[in-house]
Amino acid sequence: MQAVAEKTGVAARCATPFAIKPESGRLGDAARPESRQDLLRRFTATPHVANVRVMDRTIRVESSRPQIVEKAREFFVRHEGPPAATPDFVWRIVGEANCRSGAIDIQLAAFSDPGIRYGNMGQRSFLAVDIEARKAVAFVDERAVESEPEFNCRSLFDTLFCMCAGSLGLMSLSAACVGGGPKGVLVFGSPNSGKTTTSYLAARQGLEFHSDQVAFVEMPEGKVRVWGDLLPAIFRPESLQFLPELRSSAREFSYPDLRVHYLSKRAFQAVRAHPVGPVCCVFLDRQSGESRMAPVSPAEFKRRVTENVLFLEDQRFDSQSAAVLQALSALPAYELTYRDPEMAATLLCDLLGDKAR
Amino acid sequence: MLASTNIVSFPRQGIFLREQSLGHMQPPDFLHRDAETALCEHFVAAGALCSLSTNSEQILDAARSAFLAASSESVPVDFRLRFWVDSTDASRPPWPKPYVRGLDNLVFIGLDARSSMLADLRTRRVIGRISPGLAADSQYWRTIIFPILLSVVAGSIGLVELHASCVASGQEGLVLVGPSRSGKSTLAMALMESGFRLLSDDRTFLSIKDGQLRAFGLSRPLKLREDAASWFEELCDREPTDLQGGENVFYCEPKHRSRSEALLPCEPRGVVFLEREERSVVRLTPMDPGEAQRRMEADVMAETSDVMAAQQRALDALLALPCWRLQYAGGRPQEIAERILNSFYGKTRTLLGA
Repeated sequence: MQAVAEKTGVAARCATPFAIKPESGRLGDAARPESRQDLLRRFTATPHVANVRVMDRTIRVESSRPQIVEKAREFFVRHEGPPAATPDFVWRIVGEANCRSGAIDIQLAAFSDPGIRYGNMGQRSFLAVDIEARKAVAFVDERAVESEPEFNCRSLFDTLFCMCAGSLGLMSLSAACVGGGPKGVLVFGSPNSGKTTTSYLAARQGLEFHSDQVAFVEMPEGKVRVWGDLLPAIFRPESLQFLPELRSSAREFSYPDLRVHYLSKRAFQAVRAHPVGPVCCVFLDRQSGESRMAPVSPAEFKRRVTENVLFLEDQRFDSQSAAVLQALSALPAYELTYRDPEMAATLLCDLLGDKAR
Repeated sequence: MLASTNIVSFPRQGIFLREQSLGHMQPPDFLHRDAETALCEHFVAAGALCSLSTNSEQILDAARSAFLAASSESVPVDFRLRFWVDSTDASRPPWPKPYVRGLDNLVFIGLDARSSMLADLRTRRVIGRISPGLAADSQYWRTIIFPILLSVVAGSIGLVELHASCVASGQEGLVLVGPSRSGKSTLAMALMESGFRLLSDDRTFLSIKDGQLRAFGLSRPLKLREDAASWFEELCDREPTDLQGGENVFYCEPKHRSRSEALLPCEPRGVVFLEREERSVVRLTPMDPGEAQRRMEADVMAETSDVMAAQQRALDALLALPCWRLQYAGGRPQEIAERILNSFYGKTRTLLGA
């Protein structure tokens, strides 16, 4: 195993906090007796290990293949930092050559029961989470980790993270987030309401582009904090009509029923990911009429934010979610009806104050 | 279009998940946390008590045909099954070969791209999301899905699964161990002609109950390959019922006095290890206990150390029985069965009620 690590250049990085360390003898919960057959692969060795830091949490990523651990490290690189001695979650990922689900448009079907959840991508690739054991396992197609993590492999790590977020003390909201230094604005809106475009334009005006799809909200020491998402920004084709620069800066991907353009947010972000304290929430409503911004009552706010929870979580996280919703509902909230995205972006900047830019 | 299904494409999950919530007060139920599975019955499967919750009468029917019914008050159960049929999925047979993989306590069973299950061996439950087409295929549940499920959970509920046939006369049974194509089903069929009842033609489950070794089968038809069928009068005029792995096969429903008779356990009294030989021979000789142990161990699925310790009692009890090696090639299976009856049970003919 050490030889494999050296061949792939992994060993050279072993001195860093994120080093992928081939560990001998990691064979699952218990070593398999050699005399018995492991038909289910339950005792597959995952000797390649890295303790990866994400949103101030530590995830121990173990894999049968060093490339998978390396891709995880790359995917979360903006979050790197000294890992905790005890990981908050363990991910065990096995790469298989015959999963037959290498197509990027493969769909995920999910199901759950209290404490466990899983999703499968086709018949031969899956990820499953045991919330009580704080452990996730996955069998994936090796081909899925061969290309750029942000565009191919990202889906596995992002989905795993979303499925573990509740256990990590995070509430996942369908929202964009832009910020200036330690402050941020949460931007909600229905699909095609312009969250991505408005946030991108605000970023072009100098704000930090934390998220356009999902915001992860936490309550450390009673204070609400928001982390951005882990994915590139996703633009619809029509956005290119008034954002022609995306033709060269974004990457087009076509799926059977959808064409999108991915833009890395890195150019509009600090090198290291950091949380922001939200100063207000904005609900976007793109209309052809006159632009206006109106306050949203706390009761209406709660109703709307509840609709924007990424997905129904295990009931064990109800009190955690309620605390986040309570804290967010104490913030000023506005409905921004707009026609011109540039104007909406300027308003977001104004909400953060001049210093933000 | 996107809102019509709960399937999420990875790269656009953010877009999709948001689309789903349009017009609803609730967030999208991507994980189907609130999936309705209110139909619930209890069953006994291989001696283990299980509950099955579902939203499908068809899956319940399949379970009724595969297991013995149990009282709903019988708690606690040994394992729980929960299967939700997603009416939006439209897959149809033929079903691909099931894909089963696991790590530690979590085992995934991919039945097709839309139908799958997850077994959590730590909490002893299996959950699944099933297409209506698969839910309706009761024969597939009985012959493929339920046996796989029991294989997966066996160790965690104290069972040992052997790749073996099992026949019984009254309460007393004979276990026929051998690899695929070694003739287990053919010999079991021949022994049935001699008065045995069939518990299992391929997978036998063992456990210790009240200090006694017991063997269980599942309610499955016996499978015979076309060449083997020529030995049996009742099959001579019949056409093969299925094509499996490019081979014509017969599925024969064992004749039982009642359906529950097929599911009654037996107490094994002996083990025969089948070995196909190249040259024509029929030889039945005692097997060295060490060799029997080695073969048995190789046949049992790998488990965690605590599960293996629990399984060891059943394996030790089985290995304490007379173990025989049957080496044979060709020959009428009925004659081989007779040889076993004479040699193996010769001193205890009452065993067979003869």
